[in-house]
This record gives sequence, C-alpha cells and structure tokens, in this order.
Amino acid sequence: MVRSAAALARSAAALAIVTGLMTWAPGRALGQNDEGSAGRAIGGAALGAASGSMLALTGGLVGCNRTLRPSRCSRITTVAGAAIGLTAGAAIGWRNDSGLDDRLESAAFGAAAGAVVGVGLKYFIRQYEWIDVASASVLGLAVGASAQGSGFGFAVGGATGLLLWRFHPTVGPGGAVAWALGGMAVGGLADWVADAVRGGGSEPGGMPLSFSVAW
Amino acid sequence: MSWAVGMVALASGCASSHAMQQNPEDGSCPARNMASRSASQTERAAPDDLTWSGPAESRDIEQNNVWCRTVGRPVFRDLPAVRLEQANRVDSLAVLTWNINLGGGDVVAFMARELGLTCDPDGPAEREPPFHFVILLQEVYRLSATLPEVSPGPTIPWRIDSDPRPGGPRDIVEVAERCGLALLYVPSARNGPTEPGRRPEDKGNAVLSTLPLTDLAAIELPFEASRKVAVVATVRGPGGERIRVTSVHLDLASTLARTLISGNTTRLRQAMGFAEALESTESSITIVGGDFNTWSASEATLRRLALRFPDSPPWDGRPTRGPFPTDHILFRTVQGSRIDLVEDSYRRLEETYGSDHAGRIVWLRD
Repeated sequence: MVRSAAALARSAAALAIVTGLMTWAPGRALGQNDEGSAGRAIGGAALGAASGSMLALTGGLVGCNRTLRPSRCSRITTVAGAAIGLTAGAAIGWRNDSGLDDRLESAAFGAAAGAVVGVGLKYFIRQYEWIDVASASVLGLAVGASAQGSGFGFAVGGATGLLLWRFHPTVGPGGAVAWALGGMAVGGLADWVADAVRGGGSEPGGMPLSFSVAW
Repeated sequence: MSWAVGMVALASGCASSHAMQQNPEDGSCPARNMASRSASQTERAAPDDLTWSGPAESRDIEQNNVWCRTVGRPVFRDLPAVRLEQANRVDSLAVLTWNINLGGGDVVAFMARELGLTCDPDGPAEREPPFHFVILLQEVYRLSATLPEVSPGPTIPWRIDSDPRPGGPRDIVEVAERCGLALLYVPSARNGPTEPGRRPEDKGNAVLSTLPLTDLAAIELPFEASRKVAVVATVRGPGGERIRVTSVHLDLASTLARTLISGNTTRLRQAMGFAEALESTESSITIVGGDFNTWSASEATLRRLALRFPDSPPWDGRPTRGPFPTDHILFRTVQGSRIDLVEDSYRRLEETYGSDHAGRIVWLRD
C-alpha cells in the first residue's frame, strides 16, 4: 500500500513536471501581453515547432521504415514538420493576440493525457522508463495542439488504410497503421497551416475542408 | 522549448550504431557463461568452443550483460559419431524455421507430421529420419534447477505460459535427447522470475538437426528492448559442402523513447548488427531462418537483409503470425558452390501445432 502510494506520488510528480515543461515556454510567451505580437509569435513558433516535429516524426515512423534509409527519412520528415509548425505557429501568434490560447490549452491537456497513458504503459511494460512517459507526454502535446486536424486525419487515414488492406491484402496491418499515422500527421500539420492562413483563432471547427469541382 | 524542439528534430532518426565485435573480453556475460560451475546432466556438455560476437556500443554491452546474468549456460548436444558418415551421403536437406512460442508449439508432433521423424518417448529414436533436416527454432525454453534465482524486474520478461498439451515434451533439451537430434541452444533471457514450486526456465533460439553441428557461434544482437542471441552452427549438406545455419529472433518493438529517437529502426539495427557479425565469421553458404517480427515484407529490415542475402527465396505473400509476415528464410550462396535452393520449395507450413506462428520450409540440393 505504501509502495503503491509512493509510486502514485512519483507518477503525479512526473506528470506535473512533464506537462509543465512542455507548456511553460509557449505559455509564458503567450501570456505576456506587454511583449505584444512578437512575444506571441515566439510562443506560437515554439508550440508549432514542437507539435509539427512530433507529428511528422510519428506520422513517418511506419512509412519511413519501408524505405532503405529509414533514419534519414525520419530526419527529413521531422525537420520538415518542425519548419511547417514553426512557421504556422509564428504566423498565428503574430497576427492574432488570442489565436493560440485554445491550442495551448489543448496541448497542455494532450501532454497530461499522454503522460497518463505513458505511466499506464510503464506499469505494464517492464522495460519502460520515465523517459518513455515523457515521450508519451510530448506526443500527447503534439496531437493536442492540433487536436481536430490530427484526429480527423487519423480517422481518414485509418479508414483508407483499412480499405486498402481489405482490397489489397499485401498492404497488411502495418500498411493500415502507416496510413493512420500518416493521416494524423498530415491532418495535424494542415490544421496548423489552415489556421495560419486564416489568421488564427477563427471559428472553432478548425479545418476549412471544402472542395470545388470544376465541370 | 525551442531548444528542446531543435534537439528532437536533430536527434530523430539518429540510429545508434550497430557496430559489432568478436569475443568480448572477460567480465562480459558470455565469458561468465563459459566459466565452469556445477552443471546438470544436460548442461555439462555446454560448448567450450562456442565463439561469441556482440555489439560494440557500451550501452548494448551493459544491458546484454545484465540480462545475461539471469540465464543458464548454452547447451550443445552432438550426434553419435556413426551419423557423421551418413551426413556425407546427404543429397538433399530440408531447412525449416519456426517460432514455437515457449512450448506452445509441439515440436515432436511437428517433426512427425512435417518431417516423418517419430520420436520414441522412452529413449533416443532408433530409426533414421526419411531425410535430413535442420530446424531453426525461436522462443524455445529450457527447464533447469541450476538457473540463477531472480526476482521480478526490468530484466525479467513476463512469463509466457502456454497451456500444457499432451503429445510430448516441450523442453528443447528433452526434445533433442528423445529424438536423437543434435542441438545447440543459447538462452537469451528468463521466462518469468523464480517462483516457488516451479522449475525455473530460460528461453532463446536453437538449432535442431539430424546432422552433426560444428563451428558453433552465438551472436548477441544490439540491445533494444530485450537481449536476443542468434545461434549459428555449420552442417555438412548435400555433397558434403559446409552450410552455415542460423536461427535469429528480432525484437518486436523497442521502448517509445528509443522508437522515436531512432526513427523506428529497432529491428533494422539488430538485423544489421547480426549480418555484420555473421559476415565476419564465415564465408560459406549461409541460410538464416528466423522470426524477424516484421510488420510488412517491404520493411527496411528485410529489404536491407535481402541485399546481403541476394539468393534468398522470394516471399510467397503469406503471413505467418496472424496477418503479419514475421518469419522468413534468407539464403546466400558462394562462388563455386553446387548447392542451390530447390525451385518453388520455399513455403509456409499450414499447421501451427499449438504455436502462434506458422513455420516455413525450404529445400537445398546438390
């Protein structure tokens, strides 16, 4: 009982630390109104880069592992995702004083949720350490900061992957997972870009997905 | 924050080295395994001439050593000398790979149905098998009272406890003795901690053969999530040519942090380390069978291994564990060799015999 309480306390402390670290810098920058748009742009860039890099890295994990040089592929996608997120986040922060508030809030929630999942995994997987809990938290932050786009992309990608697997069995479950993660990354990054193009903080609902067909 | 992001971006996809080295110095776990100590009847034949290779990175060495302290000695069981003469008359050879899920798979029934070898439950098989074979096994276990006492912890995997089934022994040493087969078994980890009332078990890879095994080697793979050791031996195949046979098992996944930092190259790093170590120790025909834990036949691990084993039979598109194509046989010949794979002989075995994996078979002939 004492051991469980101590473990629980350690877990709670880790959650608080990880979540705080993940959201402290952008939160501080975004919270200083006297710094004006420049401070918010910096905060937005930091949050966008964190989210974009992790989304791209995760999205490419399975797909890149189908190439002959998966490490190089992962590096390229991660840097590209970081650049997209950084640019979009800076643009949102620069243009709109409150454009990043919702994202910061959902990122903090995502980081906390990810850490909870990480702690759960740590108890079931004996080789997991606290760094894995932190990793899960960072992933949660990345997804949380672009929750709608990531979620939508994951759903569309996953459905596409399942369909492909059904009609082309060689796609296999690995292919379906690759589509789902890839969709999550594309959706999440598109969420950031769309928000930046809109000027940030516009109507909730996130992604302006519309299609026009030329006859 | 930006600094942290920059570090993530730069660090992602930075695969650790898979550099390997031969014969780690004394103080390493393999050296301790060689040290003499009281051994059971089945363990006393642990090979003194087993050569070891392993990763060169200090983190890998440390982790492998910690895990290795929990297991027993390797086991080598040779054939009666009379069979050596027969081996020189071999004109074809079946090579199989199978993950038997810690005793879930019934090896005795497998050999009876697939290979026509009936094991006498009261002693070594008297009659010869209809043809010679080598089985490359993964996730085999060995019961032994001499294993070190260990408590639950990060170096002790959860016990895989298959339902006991009638039909024969599952301990790999017992199987080899009952069936009169040559065996090289190298444990890589424990199967669960020490428990009162239960004989402790370790688990690993093995080579089981109707032909004598020589030039024994063990290759510790780069450490990812658990210690893995590939088992290597040489048999005299068709025409008396030397054939290097290898059983290997790669990790299913690493930890989350390592997966992200390495860009999901867990199995690739292990496979490249394994291939490098194998190439540094032999130049004969080589056949590798194993559970590569691959999600897809187009995974980088298999694509890169295919470059090193260019004569491998093409995958038939059939998965071996659920929907996953995890198990494969790789082949590399050498210039001037007369041995080749029998065309279209590479296939999946349909029956799983209680394991969660189907086996694979390929034929070699002169």
